[in-house]
Amino acid sequence: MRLFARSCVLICICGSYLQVASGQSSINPDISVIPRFRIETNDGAQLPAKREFGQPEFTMEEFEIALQAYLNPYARADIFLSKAGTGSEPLEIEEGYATFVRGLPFDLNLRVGKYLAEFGRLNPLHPHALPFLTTPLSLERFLGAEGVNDLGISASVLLPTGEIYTKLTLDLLRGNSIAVLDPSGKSLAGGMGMLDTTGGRIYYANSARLMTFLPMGEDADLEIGLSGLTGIHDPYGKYRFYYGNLDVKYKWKPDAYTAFTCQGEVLVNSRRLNPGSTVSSAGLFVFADYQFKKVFSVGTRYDYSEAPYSQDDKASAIALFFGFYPVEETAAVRLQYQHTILAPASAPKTEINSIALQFLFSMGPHKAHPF
Amino acid sequence: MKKTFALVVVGCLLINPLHANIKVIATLSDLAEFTKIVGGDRVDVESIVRGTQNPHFIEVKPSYMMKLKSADLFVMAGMQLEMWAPQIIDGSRNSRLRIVDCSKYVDKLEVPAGKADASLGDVHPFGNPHYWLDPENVKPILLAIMEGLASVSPNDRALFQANMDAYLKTLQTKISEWKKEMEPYKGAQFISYHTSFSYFAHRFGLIVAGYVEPRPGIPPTPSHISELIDLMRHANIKAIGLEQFYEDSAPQSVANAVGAKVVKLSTSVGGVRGTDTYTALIDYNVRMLSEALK
Repeated sequence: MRLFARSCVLICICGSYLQVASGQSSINPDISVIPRFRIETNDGAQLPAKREFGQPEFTMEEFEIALQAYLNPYARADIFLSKAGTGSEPLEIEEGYATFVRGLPFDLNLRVGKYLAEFGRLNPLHPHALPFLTTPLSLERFLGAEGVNDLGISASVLLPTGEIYTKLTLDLLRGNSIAVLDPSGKSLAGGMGMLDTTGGRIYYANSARLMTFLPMGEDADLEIGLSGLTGIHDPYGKYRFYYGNLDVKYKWKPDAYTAFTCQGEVLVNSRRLNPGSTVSSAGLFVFADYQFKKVFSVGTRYDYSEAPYSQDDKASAIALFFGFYPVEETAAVRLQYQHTILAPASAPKTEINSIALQFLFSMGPHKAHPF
Repeated sequence: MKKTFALVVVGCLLINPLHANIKVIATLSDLAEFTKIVGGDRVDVESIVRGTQNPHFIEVKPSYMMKLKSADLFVMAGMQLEMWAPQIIDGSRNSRLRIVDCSKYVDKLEVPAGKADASLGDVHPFGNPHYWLDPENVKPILLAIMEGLASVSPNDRALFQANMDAYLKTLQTKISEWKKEMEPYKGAQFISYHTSFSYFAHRFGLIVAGYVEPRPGIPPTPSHISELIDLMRHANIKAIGLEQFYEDSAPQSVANAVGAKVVKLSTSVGGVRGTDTYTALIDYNVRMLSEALK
C-alpha cells in the first residue's frame, strides 16, 4: 500500500511539475486519475422473501491511473494501472498497449499489448464509463469479472462500404485470462482445468468483431456489431468453446442537455465438454439510459443468463440506476437498485436485492466522449 | 476502334478534370464558409459541427471519421476548442490529411498567466478560442486557410489569394458599418453566459462585465446567481447575451430579478435563423446587442 501510494504521488508530482515547466501540454503523457468508491448493501438472498439488508459496506472499487500519449506521429500508447481496495491488493496493469494509428498498409490499425478486446460493445469499456454499477450477468458469467482482458495483438481495418463506417477487428489473444463463472459462482480463470497444469502450453484465443455505424438523421445514430470468440477451455481434452455475440446501440442526442441510449447484447455459447457432449447456452442484457438537464440520468437494465457449462443454470436481474454529474465527468454520483434471481438447476432459487451508491471523481485531461 | 477509344478518353477527361476538387472538412460552419470563400469552385467543403451545436461538446462518432477519411484538408479553430478532433483524426486513418489551425496568425485574448488548471473551470490553456467573432480576425483566418489550400494545390495559390482579397475588401466595408452602428455603445456593459463574446466585445468597445457561468464550463450555482444579480443592479447592466446552445432558465431568472433582457446571440453561422453567412451572423449579433443596449 505504501509503495502504491508513493508511486502515485511520484507520478502526479512529476507530471504536474513537467506540465508547469512546459507551460502547456507537450511531450509528457496525459495523466488521469479516477478513483471509484462504493457503499453497498444487500439482503443476502434470504429464503423465503425475507428482506433484511446488511450493514452498508464501504469499499474502494478501484483506483485507476491512466497515462496516455502519442509516441510519435504514427503511434500512441495507453497505460492503465489499477488497484482495487485499500489493503494489500496489488497494483495491476489493467491495460497497457501501443496502437499504430497510421502509416500501415491498407490503413490498418495495429494494437499490441494487454487490452480489453473488442468483443461486443461493452467489454472494451472501463466501469467508470458505464451508467450502471454492476456488470451484466451474461458478461460476468461468460467472460469473467474482468472481461476479455488479455495479452494480444489486434488488427482492424475499415471496409470499403462507401460513406458508411464499417470496421473489422481481429485479435490473437494469449487466451488464458478468459474466465468464466461456474455454477457455484466460482471464477475459473481460463476455464476448468486450465490453471497450472498445462505444462507451459499456451492455448491462444481468437476474437473478431464486425461493426457498422449508421447515422439516423442529425441527432441519432445506430451501431450494430457481430463478434466471435473462440479458445480452448479444457487443456486436457483440448476442448474448444465458441462465443457469438450481437450488440446493438441506439443513441439520440439532440443537444448537450438531453440524450437517450438504448443498448443491448445477446451472447450464445457452444462448448465441447467431452467426446460426444456439447453444451449450448446463452445470455443477454438490454438497458436504456436517459440523460436530462445535462447533469441527471436515469436508466434501467434487464439481464438474463444461463451458465457456460449448463443451460439449466439460469440467472436474471433487473436494475434501476440514477446518475448525477454536477460538473461533467469530473465527478459523478450513481445510485443503483438491483433485484437478482439465481435459479441453478440443482439448488433452490434465491433472490437478492442490492442497493449501491457509487462516487467517483476524475483528475486530469478529459477526452471527448465517444459514441 | 482506336478513334472510339480516344473519344472515350477525351470525354472522360472533360467530365473529370485532371485535378479533382480539394475535399475539405471544417470543424465549424464558420470555417467551412471561409474555406468556400477562399477556395471557390476548387473546393468541396462541409463542416462537422452544426451552427446550433456547442463545439466544446461533440461526441466522437465514426461517421465523422468517415468524412475525414477521404479529405485532403481538415480546418480547425484550434486552441483546444475541439478536444474531440484528435480522436477523429486518428480514427480516419488518413495519412495524407493536412491540418489547418486557423488560430495560427490570430492575436489571442485571455491567455492564462501562470498555471491553468481545473480550479479555473474549463479554461483553454492557449487563450480564448472564440476569435472568429471579431471580424478583424477573419483576415488571419483566411490567410491560414489559404496557405492550407495552397499546400494541397500549389498551382491555385493565385486564385485563392484573389478570392481572399476580394472577400476582405467586401468585409472591410461591413466592418466599417458595424463599427458605426456600435459606436454609441462603446463602454457599455453586458453579461454573457460563457466566454464566447470576448473578441466581439473587444472589437466593438463593449465590456463583458460578468458571466452566468461562475467559471467556464461550470453550471451556474445559486450563490453565483445571487452575486450576478447584485452586480447587474449596481452597475445598471440591462442585457444578458445568451449563446444559442445554452438553456435560458438561469439567465432568464437573473434578467427577471433586475429588469434586464436576455438577448439570444449566435456564435456560429447557422446558429439562429437568419445567420446563414458570416456577415449575416455579425449583422445579427450587432443588431441584437445594439437594440438591447439602447
